Amino acid sequence: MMARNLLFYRSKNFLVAAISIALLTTMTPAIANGGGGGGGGSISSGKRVDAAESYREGVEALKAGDYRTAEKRFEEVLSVAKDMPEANYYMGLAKVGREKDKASVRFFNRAIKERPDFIEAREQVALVYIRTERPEEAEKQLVALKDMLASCANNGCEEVVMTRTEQAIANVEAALGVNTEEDADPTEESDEMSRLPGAIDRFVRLAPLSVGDTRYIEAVKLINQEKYTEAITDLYKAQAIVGPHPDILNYLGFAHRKLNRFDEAKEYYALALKIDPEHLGVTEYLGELYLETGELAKAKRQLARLDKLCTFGCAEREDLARLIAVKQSDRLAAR
Amino acid sequence: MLRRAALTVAFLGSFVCAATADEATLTETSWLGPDTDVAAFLATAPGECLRLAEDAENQYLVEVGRAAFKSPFLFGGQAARRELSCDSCHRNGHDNPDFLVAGISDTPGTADVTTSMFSKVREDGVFNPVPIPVLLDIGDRASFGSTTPKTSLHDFIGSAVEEEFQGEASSAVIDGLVAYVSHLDRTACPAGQDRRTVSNAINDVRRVLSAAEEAARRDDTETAAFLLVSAQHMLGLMYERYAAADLSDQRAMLEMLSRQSSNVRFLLGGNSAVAVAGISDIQAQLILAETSLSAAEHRSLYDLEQLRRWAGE
Repeated sequence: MMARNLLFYRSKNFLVAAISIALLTTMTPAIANGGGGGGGGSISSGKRVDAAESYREGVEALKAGDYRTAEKRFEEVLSVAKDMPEANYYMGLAKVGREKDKASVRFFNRAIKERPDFIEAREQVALVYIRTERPEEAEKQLVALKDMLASCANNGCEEVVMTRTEQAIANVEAALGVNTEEDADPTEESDEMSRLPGAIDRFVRLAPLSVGDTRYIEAVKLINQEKYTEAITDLYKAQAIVGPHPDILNYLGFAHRKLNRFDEAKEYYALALKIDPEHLGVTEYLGELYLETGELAKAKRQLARLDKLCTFGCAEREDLARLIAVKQSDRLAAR
Repeated sequence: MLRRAALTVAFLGSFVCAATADEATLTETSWLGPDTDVAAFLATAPGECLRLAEDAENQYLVEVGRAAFKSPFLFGGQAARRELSCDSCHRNGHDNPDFLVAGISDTPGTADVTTSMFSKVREDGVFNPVPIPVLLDIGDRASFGSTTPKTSLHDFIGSAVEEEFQGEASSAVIDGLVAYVSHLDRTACPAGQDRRTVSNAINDVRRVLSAAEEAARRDDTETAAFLLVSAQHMLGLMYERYAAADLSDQRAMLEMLSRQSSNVRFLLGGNSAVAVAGISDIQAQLILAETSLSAAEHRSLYDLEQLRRWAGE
């Protein structure tokens, strides 16, 4: 199971949410700034919606208890990345913060649909179901969480994931009024949290953007070592912090492509191009994908696009041109 | 401020592009540490200590190598995509105490040359950046490099390009790099630093185009194509500095010159005389453009005051 989990952990008497990333080992989330450098390369004009920036602003707004702004920001994110589990989860939290419990459900559920092992989304939606008097739905989430715990115990998983799952189960059971083990003594505060919306900021603490950068860098290194599955895990972690950034989506597409998951790769490329239609790396790699699927004409269209974008030349154009030439030469030789 | 954001060491790129001089993003700043005096960095460079070549053949090789040294197209993978070149670390053959790239450097002026960030084969599993060395006077050494030592400069440069940076340079380009680095000589150092003016930038483009012309004349299409795209890159760096809204004419000229260079690349491999004529034509256009570019230099980011304002100093 890929470790792209949002992890919550108990800090004294209340729960604090934290995006996993390095927290799997350090558990010391903090807030920091970052950004800039690398990535694009060529010169173009015009401004676009920066979904990654909206994502960060949304998380900051959640932390500040400004749920209205958070709602707007995640709406922007979801307008380009509607299936991103973390964005859906945070949108759900924003709705809960605005006391729109019923509206929150579809976002939590979409997060769960995209990532069935999303512990926090299952926990939150269960708590919402309890508040909206749908305990049978909450029970289903409880069962799912228990299944996850059993799978964790049987197949092995990181300790922090197991602990977090146990906590989620305890919280949902407490809210349902289920008597659990003798030593289960839900704190007054966690009990309150399970019943009342608001104070959502306590559920949100994002790891520093620099940690997202670090995960991205590690992913790029893994890709160069052709460890694509591991790279995907790091890229998901980076995305959970940074938001839907075209550079991350580009490499998600690349890694999936190298694993012959062409449909998923195309989806990532499409999403990246939706955010940044002039992204050179995506334009190149989509061309490479077409070469691999035998669609030479489409690959050439990507090359033509790069010719247009790279007024002053670019490595992406050169690499794709070289690969197309090789493919054409191979085809001629095969005749 | 966007320009300052670009100076941070974070790896993920901002894809919101600049439209005004104030918001201009200069590629070179993406590998500088946060404490760099950016304006000074962009206004000057360590003097190039290039000894005169012994004859015309060596002069040609030195020119090919000089262009390759400054060209990101020498490399592949991430290095090329980040537009890094030899010169990014070894400015005019010296070191670069301001170089700082996340995942590569720990302190400014260092680089991990055994990382899979840039290399598929050199990852040693340790983050171990080393100070970037000066390349002057290394031609006569018996051994080159400490990580993967080689007994010849040719082997050392070839392995650095191919193994360290995933490049696929032709043997002619590697020969050129060897010639260039061999001619970096402390006794040839100029008195002061090199000023980075538009005139010097144009001269650099001119030298690359001249080498391309010679390569085309020799029917070395691979080298000629490499040099032409390298010239395009240089024109792009100039373009970045003419970011002000009222410098659109200058930007258009630079775009046109680059497009012409690109077009000539497609002529290579056919009649070399046509390609040579095409390059000569670009040289002539460059002379015409120089007048306009120089006249507007004080409004561009070649001007130190403009640079200081842009850098927020």
